[in-house]
Amino acid sequence: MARFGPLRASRRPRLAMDEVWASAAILAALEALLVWRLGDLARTATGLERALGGRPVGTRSLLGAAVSRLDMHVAPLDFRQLAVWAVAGAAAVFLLADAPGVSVPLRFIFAYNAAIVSASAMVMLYRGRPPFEAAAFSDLYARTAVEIWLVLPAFLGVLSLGLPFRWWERLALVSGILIYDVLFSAVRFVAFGSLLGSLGGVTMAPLYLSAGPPLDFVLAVAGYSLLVTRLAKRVRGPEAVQSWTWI
Amino acid sequence: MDLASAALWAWLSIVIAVMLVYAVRHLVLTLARVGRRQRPYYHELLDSDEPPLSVLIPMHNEGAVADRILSHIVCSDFPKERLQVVPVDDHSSDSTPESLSRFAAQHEYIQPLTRREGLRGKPAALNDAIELTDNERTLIFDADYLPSGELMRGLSAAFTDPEVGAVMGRVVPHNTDAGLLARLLDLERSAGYQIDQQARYSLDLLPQYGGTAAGFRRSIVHGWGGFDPRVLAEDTDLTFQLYLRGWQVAYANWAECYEEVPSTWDGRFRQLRRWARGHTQVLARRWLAVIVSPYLNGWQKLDGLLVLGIYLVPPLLLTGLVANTLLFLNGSTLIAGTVVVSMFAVGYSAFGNFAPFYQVGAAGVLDGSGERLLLLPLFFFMYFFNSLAVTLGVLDGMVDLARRRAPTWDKTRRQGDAP
Repeated sequence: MARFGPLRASRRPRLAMDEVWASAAILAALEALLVWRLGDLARTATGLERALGGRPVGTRSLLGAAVSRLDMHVAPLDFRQLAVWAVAGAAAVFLLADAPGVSVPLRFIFAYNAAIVSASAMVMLYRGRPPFEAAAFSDLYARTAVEIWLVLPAFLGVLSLGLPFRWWERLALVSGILIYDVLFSAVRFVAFGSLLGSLGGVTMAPLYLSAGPPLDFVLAVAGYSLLVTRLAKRVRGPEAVQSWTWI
Repeated sequence: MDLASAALWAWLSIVIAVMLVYAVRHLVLTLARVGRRQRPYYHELLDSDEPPLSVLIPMHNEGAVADRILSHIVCSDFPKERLQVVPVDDHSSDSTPESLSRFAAQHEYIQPLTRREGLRGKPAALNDAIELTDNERTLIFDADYLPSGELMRGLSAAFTDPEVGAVMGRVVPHNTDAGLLARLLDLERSAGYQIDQQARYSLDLLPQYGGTAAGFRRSIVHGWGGFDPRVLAEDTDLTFQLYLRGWQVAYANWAECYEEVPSTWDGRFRQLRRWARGHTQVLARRWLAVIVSPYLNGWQKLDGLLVLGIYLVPPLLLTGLVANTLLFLNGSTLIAGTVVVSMFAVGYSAFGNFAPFYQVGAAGVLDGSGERLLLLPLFFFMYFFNSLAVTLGVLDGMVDLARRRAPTWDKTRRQGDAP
């Protein structure tokens, strides 16, 4: 006698293709609008940076939008300070390898950043300057932020099309993450400027490589997780039977 | 741009290209599982006249869980006159032998095998157990699993198809209340089975025999002289040996079997490292045969090569991260590289069953996971942990190959949590 096991093995969410196409069109329009009004977004971020105490200077054109950098100051470090950073960073890697009371994955993240700090200090000792001058780093950050604003909506938009979200949920996810990221970019820009001004160029690499683009994507995944959790709850609720197709 | 930067950029481009291939692969599998008609399993072939079945349970120091799995089998509704259970006490030094003796004394169909000589490890234990059995349909369960009668019957049904050489059920963690790690592994397993295995089965690609909650035809394995005891990933090796000889592997998505996932970071690290080490051995043994196989079509060859190469992804991405860091320190970073590498490091950091976040999310929806999906962004914080474990495992495997070293079996410790 045939007996079927858990129904979740044989089910698929019912995808309304007209809604998928409508969502794709809306998201494409949003991306086009984003490219068209990129200058407005950049100005919004610049305004927020100014309100937070940053000093936007100079502009550079990116896809026709005027993108400002911040007037940053990187604290100078003499060779003794750099040697201390190099040794302290390397020591931290070894200490973190067996640090009690810190969860292992976090230890590895801290150790990676300590290793970058140590490597930065050694490179600065060798070259006598940080990887980027203050203006160049500021410009790099500003352009990175703008590129992420362009990538995130497309990235999340495409990935949201495969599950039966409602069109407005997809739109809310993409625009919500975009707005959040514009604000977050501005706050982080000012924070980076402050940290570089007090700690010097050895923190430039971990700031950019760990607290830069990876954090934007973690936030994007967090946004996606909120939406997918909402969907998972909805399709097991009262409308569950209509939500699924079988085999 | 200087020569060093150019070389780093060239390497980073290769890393990005490979990662894109895997990202697209997982997107295709996710969309196929969510949006495409699924290939049915063999439910309709279940028969009231059960063919005889052997169940092999390799055990090394499984005192914490031995009673539980045997009790589960004893209480199952599988006809006991057609069942032979061979729990293998593989060099145990704990209470495992006492548990096995107690059950054997009460149930004739439980026939323990004690191993005190020869190589320790699952492949060697299975080889000895196979010699004791004579049923064609053979199922394998690790000691922390909880097989039901329906599960055993369902897995066995796949062998009604004469082309099926092995069958794989779905593994579901039961100790998800054992902490954050166990909950994350639950999500990862969900993506690996509900999406990956099922989509590959439905698309007629190469679903894997996973070595537990699984089964094979005794005559095939016995005919080959058994498992190679020097291979840690005997399951992956059997998968490819079967496909390369024209056999099929069936996947039973409904055949859920409950397991205990590692709940300590140390245990998880060692498990991942062992998997990566074994997988590297199989990659070296089988990649060329996959390319030239007359039994596999082009898509199956591509799937096989991507599966064989999957444990190379974390070390590869790690080298991409290092290359990107060096480019930054050299003052010659390119924004696109940082953005793309960051996207992959965040989006593709579940390296056990290798699921990007969108695959985990889709699996969670299919499984009705609810709030647990809010943990998705936390996978990123396991990135370095997972990458390091897999990278060390791949290096172990390479050293094994270079030195022709026989690896030692490093089993996962069980907590024996109550289901």
